[in-house]
Amino acid sequence: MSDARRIVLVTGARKGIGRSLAEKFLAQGDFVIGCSRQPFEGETAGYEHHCLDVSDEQAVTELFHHIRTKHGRLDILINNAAIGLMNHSLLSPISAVRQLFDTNVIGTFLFSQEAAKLMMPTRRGRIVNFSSIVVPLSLEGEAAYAASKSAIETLTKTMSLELASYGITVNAIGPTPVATDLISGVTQKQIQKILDRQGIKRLAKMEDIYNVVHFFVSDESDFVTGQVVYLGGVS
Amino acid sequence: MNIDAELTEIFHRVYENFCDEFPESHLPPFTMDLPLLGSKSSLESMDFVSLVVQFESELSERFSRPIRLMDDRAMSETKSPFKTASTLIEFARRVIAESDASDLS
Repeated sequence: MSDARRIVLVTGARKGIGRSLAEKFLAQGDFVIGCSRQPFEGETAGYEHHCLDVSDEQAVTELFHHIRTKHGRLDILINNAAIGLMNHSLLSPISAVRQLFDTNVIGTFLFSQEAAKLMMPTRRGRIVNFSSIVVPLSLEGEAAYAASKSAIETLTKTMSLELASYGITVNAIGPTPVATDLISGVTQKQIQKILDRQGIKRLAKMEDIYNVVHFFVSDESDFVTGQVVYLGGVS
Repeated sequence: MNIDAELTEIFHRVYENFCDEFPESHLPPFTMDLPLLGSKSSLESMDFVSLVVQFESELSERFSRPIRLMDDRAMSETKSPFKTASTLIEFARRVIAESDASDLS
């Protein structure tokens, strides 16, 4: 018998935004598949966790083979996994830049590819990518991170056109800073500089992010694709 | 049934299902020489994508492991393995043989 619950895959689900989103989907009654490099602490009904590197092609294809075999379909993909790099462009080690692009861009690309293949037969699906306000703000010290998020925005817009005829929407959210590990190395002064450039001058809350994600993945949003929504009055 | 015949049967079935789903496309009947890419092909680019993805999916199910046809080798070969039904089936046979070998190593 097929599972009536939505099947949701969240990358980077161990902590931070990913974990919060996974918990929100679970609370909505969805079945959630999470992944991250490190194990997930705690057991939750309706949740399964997989340890992998999102840019590892073989591991990712095996995960999707598992989803196909066990669940038969995928309804929603949240491409949340990302790493940051706060450094002047001239002081950024290329190995770190490469690793950042592997996780942020290749990971998003690979998961979107495999998810779309699973969504195509059902002629419906939702892919939500994570950009950032660093793209429109062109923040100094975030060259590599911003470049990777720009790539994700372009990927979002292009894939939205390529997948539209299959009933799959692809959108992106660009959060402002939110209190997670990703900004743990950012000073209060740097945070304040960003807040000063926002229309609404506060950190994002998890609810702000879920609100936009929830809009993108709802059944009623089947005419919304290729969009990037920034939080906090940034444009 | 040997592997070539089985792969041919799987792709034939995928193609027939596709033709049934989109009768308005008026696609030619299956033959081994059926052009998939290029000026001789009757397939739209999105039709081609759908066919390859569906073929991949059927192969993954049949061989109980993930099969990816669009790999580096597919892109680097001087003659595209996606040109006709027969070249695609032959390429799939090689991909599966290699994944068999990697399972054994």
